[in-house]
Amino acid sequence: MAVMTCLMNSCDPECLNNVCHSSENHVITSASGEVSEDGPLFPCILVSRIVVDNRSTVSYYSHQLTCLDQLMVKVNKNITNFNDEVQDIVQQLESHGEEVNHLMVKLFKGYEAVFDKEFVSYICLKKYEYNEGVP
Amino acid sequence: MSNSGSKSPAAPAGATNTTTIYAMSPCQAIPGLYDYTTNAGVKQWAEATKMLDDKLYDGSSKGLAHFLSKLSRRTRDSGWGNITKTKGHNIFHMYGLFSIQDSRDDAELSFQYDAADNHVITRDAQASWQ
Repeated sequence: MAVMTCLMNSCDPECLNNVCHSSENHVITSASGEVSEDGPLFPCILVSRIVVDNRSTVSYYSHQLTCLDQLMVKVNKNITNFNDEVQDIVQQLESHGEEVNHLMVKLFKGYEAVFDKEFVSYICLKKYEYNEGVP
Repeated sequence: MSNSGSKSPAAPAGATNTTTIYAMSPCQAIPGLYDYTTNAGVKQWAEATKMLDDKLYDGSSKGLAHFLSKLSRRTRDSGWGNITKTKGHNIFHMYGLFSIQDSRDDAELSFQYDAADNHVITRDAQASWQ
């Protein structure tokens, strides 16, 4: 019950209701008919309520990662929001057991879509150093 | 912290020999089942169940990664590692690799009974549903 109590103390009532009133709930029934709340089942249902998951999920996020220049435009060239979005994409892919390769190369493409000349020249320098293997 | 090295200095005469348990996390400091009627058990309960963050999680997709990361850290500190895996995958980081039904099947397995039809109480059962 420790897991469940921790979750009850850490989620707001709306979030708890979202799980408790979903078609899948975190209550399990034993062979003898005893009913109990299961702590670890709760976050699994919570994630399923938040993350839309189907067969195209991995291909969708993989595609997103190859078009980071478009994502930069979508977030109005806000670097912090862009980084958060990329982090989410990477997490989604990793949660499906996908390995994210050459992230830096993909990030450079996104950063180069910013109009700020000073920033772009800084990124070009970083890209050059990356390509030359400068630590 | 005690150190049982071979060259440790002799204890002064009349001193009681106490053993200090060195533990990597609070859950490891208490051997066996938690007894919530003891001071140590109550402390363990309070530590394991306290709020994960300053702010309640609102169930948004933006805060999900942060929430799961905090929960994962609490899992490590509280020794919930065995019950937070489904089909061998960590439920906080690899949630795309199993279904809710898989998690439910695992949860139902944690209900263990002995020959007299009583619950078998384990650390995992204490954390999970007891």
